[in-house]
Amino acid sequence: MKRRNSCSCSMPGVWRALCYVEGAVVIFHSPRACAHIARRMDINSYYRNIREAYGECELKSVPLLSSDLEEDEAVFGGENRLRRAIRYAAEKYHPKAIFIANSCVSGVIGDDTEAVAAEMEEELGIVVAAVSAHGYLDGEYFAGYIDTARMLIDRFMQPQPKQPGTVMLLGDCGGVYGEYVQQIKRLLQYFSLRVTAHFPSFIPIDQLASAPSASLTIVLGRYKADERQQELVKLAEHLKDRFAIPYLGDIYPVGFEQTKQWLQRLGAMIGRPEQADRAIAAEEQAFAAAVEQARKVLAGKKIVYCVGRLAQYFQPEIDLALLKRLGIQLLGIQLFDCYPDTERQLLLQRLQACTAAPVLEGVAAEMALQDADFVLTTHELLSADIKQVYTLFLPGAGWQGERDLMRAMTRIVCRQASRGGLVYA
Amino acid sequence: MLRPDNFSDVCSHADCCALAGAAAFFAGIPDAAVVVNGPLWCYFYAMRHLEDSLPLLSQRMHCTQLDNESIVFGSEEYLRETLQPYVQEPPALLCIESNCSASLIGDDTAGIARDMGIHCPVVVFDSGGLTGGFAEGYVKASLAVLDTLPLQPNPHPEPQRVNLLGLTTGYYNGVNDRRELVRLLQLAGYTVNTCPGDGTFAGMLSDIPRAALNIVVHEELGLAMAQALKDRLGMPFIVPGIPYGTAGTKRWLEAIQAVLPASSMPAALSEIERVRNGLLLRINDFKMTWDELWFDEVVIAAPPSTAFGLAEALRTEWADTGHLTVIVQQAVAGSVQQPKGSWLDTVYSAAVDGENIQRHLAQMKSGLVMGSSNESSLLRRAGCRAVQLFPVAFPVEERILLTDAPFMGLRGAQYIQECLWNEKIGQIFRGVPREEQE
Repeated sequence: MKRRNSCSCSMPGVWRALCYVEGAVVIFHSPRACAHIARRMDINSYYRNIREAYGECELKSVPLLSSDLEEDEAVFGGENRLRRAIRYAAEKYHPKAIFIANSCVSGVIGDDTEAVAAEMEEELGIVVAAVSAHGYLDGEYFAGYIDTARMLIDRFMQPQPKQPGTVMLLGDCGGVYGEYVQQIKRLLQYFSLRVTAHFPSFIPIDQLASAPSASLTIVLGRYKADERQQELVKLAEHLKDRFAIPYLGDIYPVGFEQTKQWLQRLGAMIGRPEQADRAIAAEEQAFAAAVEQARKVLAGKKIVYCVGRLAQYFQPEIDLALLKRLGIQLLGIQLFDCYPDTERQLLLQRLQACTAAPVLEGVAAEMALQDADFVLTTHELLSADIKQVYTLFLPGAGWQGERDLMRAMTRIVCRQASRGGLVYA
Repeated sequence: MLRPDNFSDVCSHADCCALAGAAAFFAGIPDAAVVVNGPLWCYFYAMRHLEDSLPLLSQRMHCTQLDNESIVFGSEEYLRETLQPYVQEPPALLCIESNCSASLIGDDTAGIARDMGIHCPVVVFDSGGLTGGFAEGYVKASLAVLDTLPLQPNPHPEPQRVNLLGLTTGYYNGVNDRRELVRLLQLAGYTVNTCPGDGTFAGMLSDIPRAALNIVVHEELGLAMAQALKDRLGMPFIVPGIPYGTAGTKRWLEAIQAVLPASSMPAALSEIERVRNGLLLRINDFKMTWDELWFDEVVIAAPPSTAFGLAEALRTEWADTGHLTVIVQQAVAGSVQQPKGSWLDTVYSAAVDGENIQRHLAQMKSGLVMGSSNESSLLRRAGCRAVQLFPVAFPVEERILLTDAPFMGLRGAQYIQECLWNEKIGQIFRGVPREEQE
């Protein structure tokens, strides 16, 4: 038996794709308590956004209902209950569309929600659509998100004449007010491009038809190797096939070097390479100034790089290039004992392509940790004495990640040794 | 009979599923291990609910990480892999709870654990959203544990020895509240025998019949176990409410005293009087400078026993308000009845009154919300920035709790009033207009 190691649930993915799509109503075909997870995620992101993306805190989310499955439905099926929930949603909210997110329970009991959706669409005269994934069974968070986005494209978008200089952002990466998108918008200004749509979560139903007027799609993301990212690229391909919108999605502007490549690619795509050159020069100048400032505190410091993150969600190349540029002495790399052999080898190859620093184990690792001014780590070390910088898991666009890392390293160096502890980049 | 439909917006709904409630009971047995037979996502959110109070819980709460294959072919392989470490090193009690989809496929979880030769008591049952919310899960877990214990009726219980039922670290500030209740009972001369699901080790649970009385604290959690112990062992129980405020604390101890007289009750009552008078004098002195503690509107959102208890203490002892609303966070309030009395103006159930709750909160211009980040985030989204939040229920994202001050008992009465008054003064100092302070 091959284990798939399911990590998440598709229903919150459906919710995220639709939560600010005015005119929509979402129904979780699930026990009522499942909705608390979506709610809890909302609350968590709300408080994160208060600090980092306040605008999203002011957005109004669409209604989220539950068909409230209980043990009776587990025995007799929940389709009738779902029909009643859909009628209730239509009568109460007068939505333009109703979307059904299936739970693992509805999958196990075998409710044919797509048939119910088709039947109710005919009865109510509005779009009623069921997302194909069922809880964690046949897809995860991202499957729910992608399925929903595809449904919005197929059911609502219409071919449009293109408006020059306009861009549709595809994906999330912290939402329309998040740091990532703000950086993207900043970079697009070099080309006088403006964002006219952020799909899927942030376009009202009645504006979806005109969204394909964008002249370019930019796929948001961080890790090209991530299979979920590839699903997003397929969606961009789908948009291209249907509405002839070219897309940029094979490179992501994460880290200084990749940002330069991204700018170059963007310039080539829109036929303005000279603007790309000017953008790169400006970014190089700003980055060099920031590095020079940080070098005053960080040059000559000794560190150990502790790594335990999966290769597909990790870009050590960015960290290691920055360390080199800052003049930080890398005493060695410690790999945490959490990797299968093949993953370990893969990561080692990538690390050793960037640095000649030794891979440390046992006593050598302990000595290096004691000798280091601080540790750069992907996981918190359970030692209050060691000064640690936690590397970014979700770096921003451009060289925001490097900026955050330099700030965190500067702060940890300034911290009194007795405090030890962790600084998040 | 067809149950009534309830499809209302769940965006104001904060109750987590039975998986978390059951895990809370098990996690409250310090030497028990908990295995969630379900997907990682459900496990993670159940554990996340409990980790605020039990930060090292992940070391003894694990997950089988079910996927699609396991639903088609059964979860035995996944269970065996997760349970394997317990064959060599069994915990004092092993609790296996299946989430809703795992429970539907009906694997013989107990048989698998037995077949593996795990030499410790094993509690197995179905949980998850089909079972209900936090309280339903907690109750189910408590009764399942009771079934595994070799309990016998005790004809000679020890006088003045009591059990506290229905306490949990799964409620906000639960750890500190339990300590305060134990302190109060000891002050009155009682010995607290056990707190099942909240600090009592597995081996000590069989001592439950040594007590002469079971005291139910959170009724929605503890009443079922109290009733079961009465039915099986003839143990008497009492549901005296929750001791919020000095008057509430006095009422609580007197109710227990009426059923089971205590040797040092005069000392306890004298301590209550001392604290009450101290608070009265200190706060009266304060009022001369800072005016009364008045709120145009108060909303209290919490599990039922907490919400009704706090509401009574707030309105009859701590502050004046023009309108008092209670939001019962849990889907089913169990046997907790809405108290009678003119001090309660409006009651909502989060499970069925979603839109009303959102509307009510959005209309608040000022006042006080004793609730969770759920209500707080709804208020902020609606632009009601002047409303004070005093967190009394999970989830809480915008406050950190590091001290040992409880909400219950005498120390709780002191702490809550201290916080409310200091927030009022803080608002004045921050230049908040008077109409928004109240």
